[in-house]
Amino acid sequence: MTETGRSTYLPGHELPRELAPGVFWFGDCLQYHYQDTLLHGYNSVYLVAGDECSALIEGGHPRDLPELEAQIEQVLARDDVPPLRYLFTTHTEVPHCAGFGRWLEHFPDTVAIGDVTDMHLIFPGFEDRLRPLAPGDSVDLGGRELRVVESVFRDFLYTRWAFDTKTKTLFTGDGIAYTHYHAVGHCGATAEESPALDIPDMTALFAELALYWTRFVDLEAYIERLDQLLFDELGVELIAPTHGLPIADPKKTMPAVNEGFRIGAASRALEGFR
Amino acid sequence: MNNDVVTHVEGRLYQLPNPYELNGFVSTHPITARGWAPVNTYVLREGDRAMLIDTGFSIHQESLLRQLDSVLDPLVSIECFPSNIGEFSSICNAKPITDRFNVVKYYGIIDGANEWLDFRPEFSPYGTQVGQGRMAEVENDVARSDPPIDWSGGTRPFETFVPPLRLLPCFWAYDRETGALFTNDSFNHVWRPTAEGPWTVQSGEAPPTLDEVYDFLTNSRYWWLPGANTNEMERGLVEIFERYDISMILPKFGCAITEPDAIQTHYELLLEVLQLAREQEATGVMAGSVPMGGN
Repeated sequence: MTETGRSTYLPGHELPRELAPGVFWFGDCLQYHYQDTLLHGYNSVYLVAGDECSALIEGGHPRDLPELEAQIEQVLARDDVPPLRYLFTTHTEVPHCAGFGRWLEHFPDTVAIGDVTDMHLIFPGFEDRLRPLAPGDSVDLGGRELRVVESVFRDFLYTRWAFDTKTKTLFTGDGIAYTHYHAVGHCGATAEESPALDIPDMTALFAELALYWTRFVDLEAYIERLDQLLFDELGVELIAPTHGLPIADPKKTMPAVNEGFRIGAASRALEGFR
Repeated sequence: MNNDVVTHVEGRLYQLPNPYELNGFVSTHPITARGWAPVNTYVLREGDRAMLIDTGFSIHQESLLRQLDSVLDPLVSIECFPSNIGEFSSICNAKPITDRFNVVKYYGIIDGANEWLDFRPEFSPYGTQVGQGRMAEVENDVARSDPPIDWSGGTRPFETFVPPLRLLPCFWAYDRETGALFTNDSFNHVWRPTAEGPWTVQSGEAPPTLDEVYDFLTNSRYWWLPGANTNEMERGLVEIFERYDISMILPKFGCAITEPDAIQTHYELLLEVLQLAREQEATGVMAGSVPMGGN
């Protein structure tokens, strides 16, 4: 896989984009070649606007920060978007919270929440504004809560997902992630707006690259738990991953994502399992 | 606090350890672990060239710059190799190092590494571009396993490869000249009760027990190991130790292992952990529900 540079948007949707009432999507495509195909991946950031305050979900990739900040300013300028109070990160990997130093400094009333392990080593000086949250914890944005839930597909042990109680949006970090095609206008689109997107293959590719552990475990148990969380416990209506296109119809699209997990796992021999 | 440079091979290979407290708020260790571990930067030297492996955490910036001052001079051409460009412990000090020393090349997993390495607000505050200034003058390259990286002008190839055991995408590397195996987030299982070190496993030092290493791994980055099919990882590890003449194991965090007997002991210990793990009941699904502690 080799990189070719920053994206040039082809017809699709410009970001920022309001995906659901008060849920905004920020990002800039990262493009690279893979097996003669030009692929894109996102390091998305989302904003959830309550009646009293707003929260950013995820902290961006370093190379995206100038573009992300321009998009954030654009949305914060709206009358119906209150000031930022919370910066939520799923975990402290570079593409998920690189902007937190700049944002904690620029927005002095904000606190970093979620999985904030290591952040005192990365952004010294902000120690008193780091608040680790566990599944079940929540913050009140006014008229909606941002609830912390368990991460089913994760990197670090204390990776957290977040759930917006008003729009039933689940922010899944690395959890449900896939690349998309640059050439057919998928940029800025939801999965359902991108019918040509091969979600299983793209999910498998991402899992192979980034979720190494999925090759070695019984994935069915994780898929079962994910389905329980999404549909039985939370009633998720919108999935907002960090690296994939948002999923606007989870019941329709998640079977393809699950198939991708299985393809990724099967790419490695599981002989001898158990 | 002991942040003395460790000379592994005079004029050729240095370990620059910077300790951090295990206080329940670090991702590298279980939340119950207490004591101190070093995050390590390594410097390979060859004449007027150097290879810098990882740049540590921001909080160690001044210490790391002092350490580098002691093993480099301003004219040395430095190539910077983050063994995991997606993790902060590899990249936090790339910017201040570039501003002080003669960094000539960055290695990334895709092009444009200079824009991956610039995120700290004290250097690039909100609203400003990243990767500018001296960083924009540095050549960006993509790290590949084949051919080996030629940082030394043809005399000392740096072999990189995808490791058999890891959490996130990263490289292991081997320096044939010194027999150093750089193991990123494996072989990190030795730490100390205080910040005074030492930051290498000592001659005759008793290794941790199998249970201690197992608990360390499965309660931190390798939460997914219980019940996993570890055969492939085990085979990969054996292959590496058969292929290379390894005279030291140099992890990104934790104590370096340099004594011949200790290398064999800790290698066998990790193999035993992998064997033990696959016999266990899988616990990974619910691991995401674990509340975080700390003191």
